Amino acid sequence: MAEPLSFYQALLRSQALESLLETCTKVPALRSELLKGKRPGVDSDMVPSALSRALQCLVERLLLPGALSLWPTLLEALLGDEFGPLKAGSCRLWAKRALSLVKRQWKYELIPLTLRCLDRKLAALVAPPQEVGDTAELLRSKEGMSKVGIRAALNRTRLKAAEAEASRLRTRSELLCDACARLEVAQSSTQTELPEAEQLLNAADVMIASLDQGVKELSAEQENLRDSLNDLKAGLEKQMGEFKETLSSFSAKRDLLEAEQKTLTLRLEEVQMQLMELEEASGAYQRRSKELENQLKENTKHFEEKIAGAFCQQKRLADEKLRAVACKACAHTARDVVEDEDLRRAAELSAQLRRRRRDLRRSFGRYLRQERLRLEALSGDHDSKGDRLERAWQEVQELLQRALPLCKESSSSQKSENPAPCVDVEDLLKQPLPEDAATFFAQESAKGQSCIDCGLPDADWASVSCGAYLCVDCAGRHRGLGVHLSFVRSTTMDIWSPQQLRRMQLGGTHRFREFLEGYPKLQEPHSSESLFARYNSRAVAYYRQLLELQCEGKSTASSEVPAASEGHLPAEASQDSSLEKGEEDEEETALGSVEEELAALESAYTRHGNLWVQIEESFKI
Amino acid sequence: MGLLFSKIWARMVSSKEMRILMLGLDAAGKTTILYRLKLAEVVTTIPTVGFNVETVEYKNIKFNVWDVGGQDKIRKLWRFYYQGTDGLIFVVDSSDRDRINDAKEELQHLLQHDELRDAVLLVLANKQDLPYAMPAAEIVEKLELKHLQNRAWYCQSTVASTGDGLYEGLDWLSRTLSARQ
Repeated sequence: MAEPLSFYQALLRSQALESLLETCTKVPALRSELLKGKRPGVDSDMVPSALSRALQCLVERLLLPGALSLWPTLLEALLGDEFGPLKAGSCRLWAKRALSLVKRQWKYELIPLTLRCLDRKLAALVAPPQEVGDTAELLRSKEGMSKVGIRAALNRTRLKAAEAEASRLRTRSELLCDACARLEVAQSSTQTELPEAEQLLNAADVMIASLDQGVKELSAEQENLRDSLNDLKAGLEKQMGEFKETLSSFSAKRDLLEAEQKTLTLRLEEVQMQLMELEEASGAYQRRSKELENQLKENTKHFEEKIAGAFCQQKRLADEKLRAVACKACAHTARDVVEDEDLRRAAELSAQLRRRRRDLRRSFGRYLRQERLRLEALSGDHDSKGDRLERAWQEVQELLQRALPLCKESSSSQKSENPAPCVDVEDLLKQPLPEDAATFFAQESAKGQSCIDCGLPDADWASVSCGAYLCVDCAGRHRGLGVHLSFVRSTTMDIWSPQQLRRMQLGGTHRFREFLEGYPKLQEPHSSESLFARYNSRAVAYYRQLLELQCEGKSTASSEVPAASEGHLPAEASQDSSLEKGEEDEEETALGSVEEELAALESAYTRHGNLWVQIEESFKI
Repeated sequence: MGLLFSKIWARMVSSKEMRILMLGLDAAGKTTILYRLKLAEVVTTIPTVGFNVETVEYKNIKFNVWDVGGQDKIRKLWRFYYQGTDGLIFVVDSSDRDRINDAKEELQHLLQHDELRDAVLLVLANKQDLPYAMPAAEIVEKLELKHLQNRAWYCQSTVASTGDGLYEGLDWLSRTLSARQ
């Protein structure tokens, strides 16, 4: 019973060692070591330790899985320097092929061993069964059975034995078949071995040739690389020169920058110094501001107290003012009352004066007539003395001196102190008649025509009656007065007749305002009542009439300008003046009669005086 | 039957709407009349540039009264308000004797317009409170109203500042317009 051989035992016995030795001819040291142990038939124990170590080393390195990378080093050691450096890929392929050859040799060595094993198994299968003993045992155990039963049981055991025999034979035949197949394979592989080795050699040759070419290519490549290296070197040197230049420039720059840095640091220090100073200054200012704040607080407190005092004072003063205003209002009303009273009294007095004057004239006329009659009577009475005549004449003269100025004054006192409106109407009348309303009003607005009632500028409405301009609000109020007081037109939305334009040309806000300045009671209407009073007054009625007449070409009005004291009275009262005018006319006639009487008296006196002188002369004769 | 009843009921209860156009020369008192009717108080008006429109309800009739400015140059805009007018109120300043002829011409001119063919005419002789105001009869004569043909007209003397005569004028309008329906 041989043990299965270890791998290197099998290797030593096989032909593979021979081929390995052949391969290793170039390495004499290894070869001599291998040949020392080459003694056919000797057990592995007998192999010298050096050889066994070498083999073990070799085989382990060659055949262990993952040790294939060692093949190139082994082959390099085996083949020396003749072939030059090997390419790793092709070398590995070549080594694999070499290894497979070695392994195949070794497989053949295993075949006899396998066969022996097979023989042993076959012999085990051939061992005879113990049939008889079994049957006797069966008979003993089944004593109470019939003959047929016993026969059947025997037949069953016999069948079992036959089945076991058959299976054993089948296994054996299968094992034999395996052995035959292995042997056949071994036989066929030995036949193909030689050509394969030859092929291997050829492949090695091709390999070597390819390696040669590889070497050549590599040398060419090396040349190329050397050239490119030279080029690269030149380029790099050039670049290095440039870099050196730039480096030098950089260092110069760096010097400059360092100098700058130094100055900047100096500057920075200065700035920091300044900052310090500023901080100190700000601290000082903060202290100062705090002081000032405190001062301010004190001052505000002081002044607040003063303000509070002033407020009290102001309140007191306001109260006083209110009282004063009330007093003033009272005074105003009082003054108005007094004025009204004065006016009323003046009117009464003037009426009385007029009446008295009339009476005076009448009585004076009568007196004169009487005196004339007396003179005539005296002239008839020749006995009476001349001094009576003289006395009567003197009395007449005295009365005449008193009465005549009184009679004549009445007509001149009626003349108003009011000056006539100072606009030069003559000049205005000489101006051409305006034709186009738009251009006329454009010119007028350029003069700055404001509203007559409220003074608003750019007034584009107008009261044609008064020839004055109005704003739209005052125009609305004027329209409520009625056309007999104020006829209102728009300068933009109405059509204007040449007469109306003429009236605006002659009038105008400025002229009307100047006229109204003569009547302090007609200023600035603030209510509808005062507006009505203004435009219903005698003064404005006179102005309307004046404009009317001037438009017609007459330069002066027929009636007199109302006095400042009467201008604000309603125009209806002026109808009375026509009555008074009639009375005055009567007075005129009365005065005429007085003058006639006086002339008659004088002529009578002279006549009678002459007569008296003639009589005296005749007496003297 | 029900429809007829509801129609009668509607006529009795619901208020009709009448479009009234109020025209006249400038400063005749149109705007004052309008606000006297609307607010029952006298407002201080300013000259109307454009128009005012208010709804005045009187005797179940809603009068939509359009008051259009009467300045010379904006009178030619009146015609844009003619359409659909049921009643025309023509306001005259009775105290303005100088311009009564202008008023006549304006009235005659606008009555010739086709769109006002069916409108009834109420002439208000306004400002009767002013001195020398012409009475209604004189206004009728001056405006030659008696020469009008195919026109329902009426002349009412009024004082807009007190409201005298205004509702008499509206009475005539409502009567006349209801009768025409």
